[in-house]
Amino acid sequence: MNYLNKAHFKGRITRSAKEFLQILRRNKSGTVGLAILLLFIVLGTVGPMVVPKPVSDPSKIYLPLSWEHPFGTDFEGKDVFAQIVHGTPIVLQIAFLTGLLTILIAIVLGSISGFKGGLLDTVIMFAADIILTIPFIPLFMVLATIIKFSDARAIALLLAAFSWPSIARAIRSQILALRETTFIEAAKIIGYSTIEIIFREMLPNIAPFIAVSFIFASINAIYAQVGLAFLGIVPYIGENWGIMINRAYTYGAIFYSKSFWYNMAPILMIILLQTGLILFSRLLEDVLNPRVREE
Amino acid sequence: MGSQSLVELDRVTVKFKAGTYLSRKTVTVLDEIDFSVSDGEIVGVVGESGCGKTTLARVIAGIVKPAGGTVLFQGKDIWKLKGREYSEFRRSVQMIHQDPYTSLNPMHTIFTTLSRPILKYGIVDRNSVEDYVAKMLSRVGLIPPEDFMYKYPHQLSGGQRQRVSIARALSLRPKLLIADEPVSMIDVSLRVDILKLISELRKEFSTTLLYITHDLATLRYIAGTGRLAVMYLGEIVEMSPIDTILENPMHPYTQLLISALPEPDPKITRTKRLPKLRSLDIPSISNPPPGCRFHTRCPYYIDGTCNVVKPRPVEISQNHYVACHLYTKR
Amino acid sequence: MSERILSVSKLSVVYGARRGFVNAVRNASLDIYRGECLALVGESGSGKTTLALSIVRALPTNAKILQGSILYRLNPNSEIDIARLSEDEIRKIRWKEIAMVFQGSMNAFNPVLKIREHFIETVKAHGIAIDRKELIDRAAKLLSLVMLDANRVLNSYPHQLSGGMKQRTLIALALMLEPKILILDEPTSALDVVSQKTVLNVLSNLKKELNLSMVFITHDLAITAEVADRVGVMYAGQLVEVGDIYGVYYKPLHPYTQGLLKAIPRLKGSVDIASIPGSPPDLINPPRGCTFHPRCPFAMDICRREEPPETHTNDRIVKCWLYAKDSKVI
Repeated sequence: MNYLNKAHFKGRITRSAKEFLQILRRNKSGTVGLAILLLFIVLGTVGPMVVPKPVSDPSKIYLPLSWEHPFGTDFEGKDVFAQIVHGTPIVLQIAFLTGLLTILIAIVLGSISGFKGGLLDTVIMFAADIILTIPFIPLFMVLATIIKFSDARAIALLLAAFSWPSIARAIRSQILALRETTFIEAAKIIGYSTIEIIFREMLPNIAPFIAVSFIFASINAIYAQVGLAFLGIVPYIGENWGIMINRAYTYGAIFYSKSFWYNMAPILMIILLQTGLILFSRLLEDVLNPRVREE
Repeated sequence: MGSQSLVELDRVTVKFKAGTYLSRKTVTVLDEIDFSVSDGEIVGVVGESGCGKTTLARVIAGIVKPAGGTVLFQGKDIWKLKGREYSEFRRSVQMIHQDPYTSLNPMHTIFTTLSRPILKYGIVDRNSVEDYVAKMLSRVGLIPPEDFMYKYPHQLSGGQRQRVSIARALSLRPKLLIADEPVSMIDVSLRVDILKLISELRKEFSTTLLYITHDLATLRYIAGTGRLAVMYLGEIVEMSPIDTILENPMHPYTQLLISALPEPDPKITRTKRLPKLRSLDIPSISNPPPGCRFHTRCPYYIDGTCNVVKPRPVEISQNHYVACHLYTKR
Repeated sequence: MSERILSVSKLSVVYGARRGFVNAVRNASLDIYRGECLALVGESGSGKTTLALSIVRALPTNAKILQGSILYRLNPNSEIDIARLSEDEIRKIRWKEIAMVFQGSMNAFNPVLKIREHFIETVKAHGIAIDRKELIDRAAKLLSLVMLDANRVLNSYPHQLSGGMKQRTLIALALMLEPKILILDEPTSALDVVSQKTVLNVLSNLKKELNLSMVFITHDLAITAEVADRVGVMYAGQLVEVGDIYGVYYKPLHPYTQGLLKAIPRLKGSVDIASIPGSPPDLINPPRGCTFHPRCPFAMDICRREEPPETHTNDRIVKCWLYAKDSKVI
């Protein structure tokens, strides 16, 4: 171990850090996305500890914006900003948990389908097609009458069950394409097992796609949960932003000019978060693709 | 001749499904091939595109399963191997592919590409693998190895990538190395180096070499005194030591091939004449002619025989086999 | 000595790339005469395709002719500089004076049109008023010149023709407007050996029958030996040696040509081949002086400092300091 030693490995890590900074510099929109995302993560982790829980105070109904109430107050006198902050953790949790579950299911089913083919492929794709035809809101409405949705995890799982088909299909076609490549044939000749081939040879090639799919699955999950909360299908799980919109609607806040910020705050937050996620996905694409790094 | 038979193909037939849903056809890409390679020898397989030579390589490498016949490696049917024996077979047969631009995983560094197989088969342990990879890289001419170890394939030239492929294959110390047109996508002036490298390493590691190509001249360079199999439309039409075939080609297709190949010498190549062929049309592999597949073009066509009966290989002289009715009438 | 029909003089072409400007062709000068086949030979990156594309101004949008002239003898008393023509003026030259058959153009056929319609469409597209019968007659004559059954081919759809037949049809199509020069870019790369030999024979035939000049681009020195009258060897964007084929092959002057010829394996004779040391240069930052000097066994001091001039001997043009002192330096 003369010329090759730990120093070389260390060099690799510092090189990667330098490469990462280079990517940040080049991909400005992606960096903005990263910043927004970090902002929300801080908001969701540190926020609830710092910002007091919102309490209703009839003397403070629909107050205008101020330092004390950055988004004003709602119909009950509760501080809107505090509601946002306390709602952030649940929004993020469901979003990322759903994203994660979705891609895990999609990877497993999509890879098996694409690599093995045959009966397994037919069955899995058939299931995917069926799920794609089911309208999820009515289904949720029906389920809501039977199941009590109090757990973020249950919601995430259910949302994931609806989101995996399209991503699994996309992964399947990429696996099919990869299967015909020379380096996969070389991998078979070397003697790697099927699992080794799928996970170590193929998936890294679709890593950018998987990362972006994760982000978009999360984005969809945000819309889904906010939508469900707004429709009142998913009962009150903390201060989910969708609930805020629901309440705003129910309590006639849309008819007042003073309650403008109560309406807009959750919507603005959603837009900001989604934008941040989309921009961040661009950064992920660059980071995960070694070919982009070099120049 | 006394050497152990390393690979033996016995009446191997390979069929592929082709076409769309509406017109699914089964194409017989290899038709009852008998083929063998002895330990330590160099065997070349030559033929034009579509003759089945790459499929033959894949059958021997064990990634294409024949529809009929058996493939034996060191006496055992490769499709019946399990566990340790299967693993040993896999390690023992390695391949260098034609296209250096697609034969390396673009997402892996050179080190990862080389070290994983080495670790998988326990050639060396975790502590020594970096050294071993560096040694292999030096051995294939990628010097200094540190300059290449942590790069990605797209940062290397075609020739360099091909050297990595060679390193990958040989680092497992295989018994059989299959080279599928390893230099056809490399610039002419750089081919020699790769060919010399394969030649030297083969000797150094005592590996048996199966060299697939459409370029007879390159084969002559690397095969030395080895044997050559000539393939046409899924069949082996002639097989013999390479010098014998070049000096005295017996099968009409081999004669055609040699006379049609341009040579880098104006006087020689302009005096070569094509034999008078019956037809300039080339049959398609999905609809091969009955009997001898070459009969539609063969200048020595015998009606009633060549279009009806498939000629089986006959040994017409020491180690020289020809599948042609001109020689089966004995 | 037949008349000179095209004269490329000190042509330089660059491509814009991310890292900088790629000097694809540098200071190239070349003459083409009537009724001859000139082969442009070189490895990848040598600039042969760029040079040929420049002649018909078919370069991609990121390419630019930096300097030089391409003088074409339109008729006995007028010459035009193709490099300076406008897009409209070029369109009048293309196909009518200089035609081109690209690599892979076999796939350029419209699958729903019969071959005869392809001929009709092509002529119509160039605004030539010609009576239908005369058109078909001319097509038929050209098709038989390329050794095809005119009747059968004209009434076929592209998919009914083999690769070799399609290629020959394309050549006939390119000759419909009676150009004086035909540029072919690796026309036989996708063909089997027999089709290849046939196409090459056909080209030799056309040369004589139609007094056609041909520029044949290839990397294959064997194909060049088969068909060329003169050959231009290109390296890193420069024409390093141009001359009569027998001269260049049997008495190569430029060290690169010598190296290339020594690097090709042959079917007969010595198996000794040697590579050219080093690797192709970076075309964005080519070496100073003679581009080949880092790899040249005869490199002298001056080679490292100054680009060699063109030396004209009686049958050769060489860009090399080894010869600059002896003969006329132009």
